[in-house]
Amino acid sequence: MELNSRILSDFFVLDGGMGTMLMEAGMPVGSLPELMNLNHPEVIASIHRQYVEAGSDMVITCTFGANEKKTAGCGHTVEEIITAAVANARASGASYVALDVGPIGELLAPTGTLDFDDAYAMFARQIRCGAACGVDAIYIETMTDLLETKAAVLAARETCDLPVFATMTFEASGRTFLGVPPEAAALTLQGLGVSAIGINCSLGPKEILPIASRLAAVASVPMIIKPNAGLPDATSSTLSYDITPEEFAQYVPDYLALGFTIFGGCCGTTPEYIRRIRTALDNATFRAPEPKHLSALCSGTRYVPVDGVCVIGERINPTGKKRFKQALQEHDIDYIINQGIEQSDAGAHVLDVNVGLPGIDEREMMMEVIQELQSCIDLPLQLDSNNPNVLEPALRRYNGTPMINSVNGEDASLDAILPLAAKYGTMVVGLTLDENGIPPTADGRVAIARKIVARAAEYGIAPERIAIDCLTLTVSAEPAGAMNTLSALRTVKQELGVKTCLGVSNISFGLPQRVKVNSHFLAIALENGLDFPIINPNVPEMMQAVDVHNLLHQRDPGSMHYIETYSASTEMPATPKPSVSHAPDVQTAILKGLGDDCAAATRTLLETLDPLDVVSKHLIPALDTVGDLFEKDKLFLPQLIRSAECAKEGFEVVRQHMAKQGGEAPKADKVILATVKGDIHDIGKNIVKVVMENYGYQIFDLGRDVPPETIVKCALEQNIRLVGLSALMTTTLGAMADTISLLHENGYTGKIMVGGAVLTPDYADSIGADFYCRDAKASVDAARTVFGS
Amino acid sequence: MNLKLDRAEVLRYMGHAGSDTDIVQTAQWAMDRIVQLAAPRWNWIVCTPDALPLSGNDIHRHLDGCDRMAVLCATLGAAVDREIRRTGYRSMLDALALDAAAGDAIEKVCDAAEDEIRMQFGQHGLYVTGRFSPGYGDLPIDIQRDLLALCDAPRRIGLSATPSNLLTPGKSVTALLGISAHPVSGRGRGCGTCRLSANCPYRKRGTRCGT
Repeated sequence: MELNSRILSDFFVLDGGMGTMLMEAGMPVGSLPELMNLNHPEVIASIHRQYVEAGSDMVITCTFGANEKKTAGCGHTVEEIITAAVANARASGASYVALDVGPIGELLAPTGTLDFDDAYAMFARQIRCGAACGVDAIYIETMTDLLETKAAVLAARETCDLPVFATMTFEASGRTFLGVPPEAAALTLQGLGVSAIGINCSLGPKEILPIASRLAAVASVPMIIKPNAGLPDATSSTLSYDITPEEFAQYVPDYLALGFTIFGGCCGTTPEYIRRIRTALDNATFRAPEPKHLSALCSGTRYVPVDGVCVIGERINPTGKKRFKQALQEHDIDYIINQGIEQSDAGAHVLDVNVGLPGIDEREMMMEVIQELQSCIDLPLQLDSNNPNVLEPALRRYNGTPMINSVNGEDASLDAILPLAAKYGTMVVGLTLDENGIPPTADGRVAIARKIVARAAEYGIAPERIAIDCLTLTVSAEPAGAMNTLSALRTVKQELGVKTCLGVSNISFGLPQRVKVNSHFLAIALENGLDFPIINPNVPEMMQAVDVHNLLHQRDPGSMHYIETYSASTEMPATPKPSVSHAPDVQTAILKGLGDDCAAATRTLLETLDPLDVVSKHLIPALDTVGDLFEKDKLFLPQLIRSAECAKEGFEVVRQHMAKQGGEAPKADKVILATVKGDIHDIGKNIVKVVMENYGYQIFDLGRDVPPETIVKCALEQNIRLVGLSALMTTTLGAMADTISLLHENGYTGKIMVGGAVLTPDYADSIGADFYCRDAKASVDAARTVFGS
Repeated sequence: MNLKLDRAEVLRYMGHAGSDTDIVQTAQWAMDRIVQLAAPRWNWIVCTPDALPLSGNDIHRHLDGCDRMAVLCATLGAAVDREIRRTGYRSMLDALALDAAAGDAIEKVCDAAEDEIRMQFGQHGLYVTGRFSPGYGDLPIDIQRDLLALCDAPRRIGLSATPSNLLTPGKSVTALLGISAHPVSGRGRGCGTCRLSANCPYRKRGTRCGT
């Protein structure tokens, strides 16, 4: 019977522990179990056979670590190991054989340095070989990183047509080591089209049960449970576990009640455990899994069900935002990420990400911004582009299940975007416009929404995965627009079973006091069934409208959120600003790290002085004083940083002042900073950056783990005269030396400064660096030597 | 575990040697945050010293007289890395404080693990040396991957290494402790084995980095 039909029509029993059995068979600790396939095929085949005799429907090959990283240097290729392993599994006479695929053993960027595409290629190599050897399924297991699991699943789905089983491993806290909740795992993996999802390893059946119940609430495909034989027995000197086969099987009814239909065992389990499971299933009644029809999004660490108002932050978007455009043009990723952090702190549930601007490589920028946002913010993202070439690579590398913004009623758009939403299992925004523009009437927009829903259905995208945007028109230009939009919104929501989405702030374009109109329109739209308001969550009135809506609609249990958010602000009246006469001057403010005072004092100075004088006669001398005290050990690193961050506020005042006067800021001297290839410690580099920025240098921060080629390219393109390289570890000093050589080989004529804990002046000299910088202050001194002060 | 951090130590990691009230408060804030976010895990195994390809003089001196060793892996988990990264976008001072607090936290976790090892072997009348990590003295850091594999660290505690042998998550430690039937002190850690001793800013100031 075809495997996918089989698991939808009957219970299915997997095998138990392989490592456990190999240890019992005398495999030495620390050796590669995968090599047993070649050295002792009879042992492996015999273990598989014992499982088949115990009642396993499918055995899983002994290839958990058969990837090119883990097998490097073992004397055999991945293909040799997998070919032997599949033959051994087949020899057992099992009805089905699955290729086992475990984690690579290195963390993907941004936590580690392994690139997504490299991980994909390694998985694809294993899977291609397994498929060629004739396995019946791909079994991806013991995963802790959702992005790595996604790489493996995509490799399987794109390399062969075989059913894919995927299980992740959770701690008792209910998350994987990398923080993945079971709901996010279920949503993302079934969205990618795996045949069955589940949980294996780490814990016993008793401890996994609460986690399994959370998985079951989201899963629409058959569920797998493959626990350890309890918890490791701490009192035992050998690796053994604390529950017996009888106890193990006693949990089968609990899992049946949750809807689990695929059973097996992981560490510590033996054929006897499998035999007990088989017996426990003999008299049980099979129930096929039911589709859950969920509207939900997630990141690798947060699951967001759409069962109430779900605020989408709109700020990561250059449209109408000069400062944001500038950030994109200058590749100022920090600014963009800060927009995300602010919105996250303000209470957004999802962040829209739009980085399209003429002259910008939108595809590269989208990938970079998404990776960086996901490294520090756990909100799910909405990928905002109508270009499939931008969307597809972003969808691949996105950790979790995002939303696409957007498709519209034009056939070209539907044909390009819907296949992507289907393949990656995402939600998608559907704009109610087409080649004829935006229909003026509510009926016209509802008709387009119907078309979008119908076409999506052809791709297997159910209405709950679609958010229809009935489009907000500017009320000053289209007096009837607001009511038409709301009428359409009501209808699509009731009639089509979709979610709804609206960019709210368009409504008030060209009007004074826009927030009044925006917040009121938002309140009415929510009342008419709006699920996803796309707003600026930093505007308190907007979030207030959402909070009040939730309060009145009983979506704020015990009014807790409302009370917590709003009781504090009435208790604490804003403290009055100290009067100007007592305010410290720039020097004192910077020395003491008083940011607000520094800004105020700078403003006062600008009333009488030229902006450039304010910088050269006040701000910079104040920083110099701090620098001198630091060198004399009178002030320390934290104070140096604090002063730099404080001075930043003064510089920002000057910058705004000059922008207002229409003056061009003077050309800043440009410096590259990068943490070298292989190194991910960037705190030192970032400290240098903060300090140097405040001396007026324009920093090209290339980030961490930066290949030498990237540094050379930027140095030559930007005519850089000073490159700063950082490395923390002895093992990455080589990459520093390589970078310096490559810079020189490619005709870079500027200077190079280096820093990092393990560096010494002698070593810096020996690799051809011009400056050894022991701290941030020394970097400023180096820059002054290069550029003059 | 009940993680208790040492503020003086955290301030020292931050490079601070004064008593600036704001900085002290920042350190305290960071310590509270790290205690809240850290998910300390460790795992250790016992084996003979030849289970790992140990080169260099220092580790052999450390394990002198020991017929077995404990191999320890410990981590604070990935959430700490994310928080430090996220905070750095807002304030490098706060990020520095978090980084320092996390540095102290992983030491405290290792202390707890070491106590556990010491207690277990002490019961049997055996002696245990202090911790010695890859990268100390002349023990190459490139045994990191073999060491992690030996402890099954990726699977047991979610700890792995990059190709350049950096531990990920970042706030993690691996270490070797000698076990002997006779009293042993090990070569131990200290300025004598530290490759940074010649340029150490702490030593210049007349203090030590805390080990």
